[in-house]
Amino acid sequence: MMPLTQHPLLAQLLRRVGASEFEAPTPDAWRELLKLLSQLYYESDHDRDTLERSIENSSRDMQQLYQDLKQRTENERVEQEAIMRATLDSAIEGIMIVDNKRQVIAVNKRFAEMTRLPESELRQRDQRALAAVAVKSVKTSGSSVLVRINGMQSTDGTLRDEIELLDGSVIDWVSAPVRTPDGTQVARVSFFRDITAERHAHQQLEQAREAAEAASKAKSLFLANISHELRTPLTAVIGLADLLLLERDPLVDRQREYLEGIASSGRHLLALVNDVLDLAKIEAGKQELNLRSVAVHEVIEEGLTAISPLANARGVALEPATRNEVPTVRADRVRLRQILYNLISNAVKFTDRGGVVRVRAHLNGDRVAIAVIDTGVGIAAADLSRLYRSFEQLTLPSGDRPGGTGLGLALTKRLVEMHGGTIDVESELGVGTTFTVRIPVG
Amino acid sequence: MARILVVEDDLWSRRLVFELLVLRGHDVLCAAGVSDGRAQLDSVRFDAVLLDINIPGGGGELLLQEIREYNTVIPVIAFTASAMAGDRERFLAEGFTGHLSKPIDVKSFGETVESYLRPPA
Repeated sequence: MMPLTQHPLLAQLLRRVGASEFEAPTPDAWRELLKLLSQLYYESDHDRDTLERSIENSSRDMQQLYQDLKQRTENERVEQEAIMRATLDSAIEGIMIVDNKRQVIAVNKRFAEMTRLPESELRQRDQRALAAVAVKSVKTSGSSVLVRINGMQSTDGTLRDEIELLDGSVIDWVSAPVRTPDGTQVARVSFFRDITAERHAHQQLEQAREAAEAASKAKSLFLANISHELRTPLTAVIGLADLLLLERDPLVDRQREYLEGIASSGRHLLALVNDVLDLAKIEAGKQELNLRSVAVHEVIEEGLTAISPLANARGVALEPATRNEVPTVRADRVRLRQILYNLISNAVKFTDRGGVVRVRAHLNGDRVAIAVIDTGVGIAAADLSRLYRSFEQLTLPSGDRPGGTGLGLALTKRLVEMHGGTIDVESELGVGTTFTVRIPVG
Repeated sequence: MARILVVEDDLWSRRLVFELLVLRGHDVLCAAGVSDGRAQLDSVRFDAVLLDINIPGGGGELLLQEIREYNTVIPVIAFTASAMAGDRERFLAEGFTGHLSKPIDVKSFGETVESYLRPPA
């Protein structure tokens, strides 16, 4: 039998009202069916309505949500930007960020202050145009900063310049590429550090040092010149006095004594002038050493021979160095003799009648140590620090000042140091003093 | 005995050198500067010249140059108060025969000057 309807839903509804799809419904069943249909229709309409409304609601919610999210993101972005900006602005360095086309993306306050241009004007400008209006000169041009990578020298694109701005301030400018993690360069960030004060301080220091050096040199040169000039009239003073002393015509004792006084004072003055000249030459850097291999014992003997008249007159015995084997030293023979002469004559002057002055030489590492040993009055510990100062002469226990210029030790120390050597002193009051100079072997 | 020209601008140094050389029996003439010395050299034949460097009229080196233009053998001795290291070498390189530095030793001065008068060995 053919069903009344092929429609499954209608068949289902027919069964619900007690009818069947295989026979025509009764009028009651038909009414029931219509009622059911009407109810179903109503229900479905209601559901659709609910659905529509719920869709509408959720759509509104989502919109709201979207708006909220959008707002929140915007807030966060604004907040982050504010933090970023505050960070940039709190930097003591001027900062400028440019994109790959060298258009300025961002600058900080400090940069605006440095360039004296308003921030608004700085943004979106070309870096070169900006440089043209703000930079007076580039002192060093684009020197690439080398960065050490795995022990190899390599440049990472960091550049360093020293520039001068229009207001005269000097800026250390370091710029580095900004890269994404995959290495693509997206921008370049520049840091500007004001080093005007540093440079200024450095410059002033340099100028002060130069001025001091020039003054010192001028002083030394003046001393050298004046010493030179003083020697000429002294030549006549000493020479004429000596000449008169050589005269065959007898002089009365007083005349001879006075003449000797003139000649001796002239020699003292000359010694002083020579020492001042030597010191001045050393300080002006004009003293040159004629370095050769020098036999130490020969120079010691020359020094002892030169000083023997003074030693004899003072009753001090000179004990020459035993001729042990010592290597030659690298020295200026004339100056080494001067060094030893100064030390030996000092030893004699500060040693009482009956005392002894000895000279010893021995190899000491890569130097020859030459010791001048006396049995003299000794030097108080407090006086040791004054020893090498110019014009500071120690007095004898009697209160007398020994002969000499007061420059001898200052000069001796300088000369020893010019040889690359050292000078040391050991002393005990009433026992004696030992000066030891050490001159490099050569 | 030799005829010696002393060119020295300091009066008493000049006088001292004059006396010392005369004492040794030499014939000594003096000049105080370059032009003075030049005039003497033009009119008298000398055996030696003692020449101060720091003299008016261009300095001793100028006068030496003039002398060396016509006479390469006459002993010309630099006589100077300068005692810088290397001076002697410089003077010899410039054509001086020798160098005497001030102040002089009265006792040995004459002999030292005479050592330059002997013909070179």
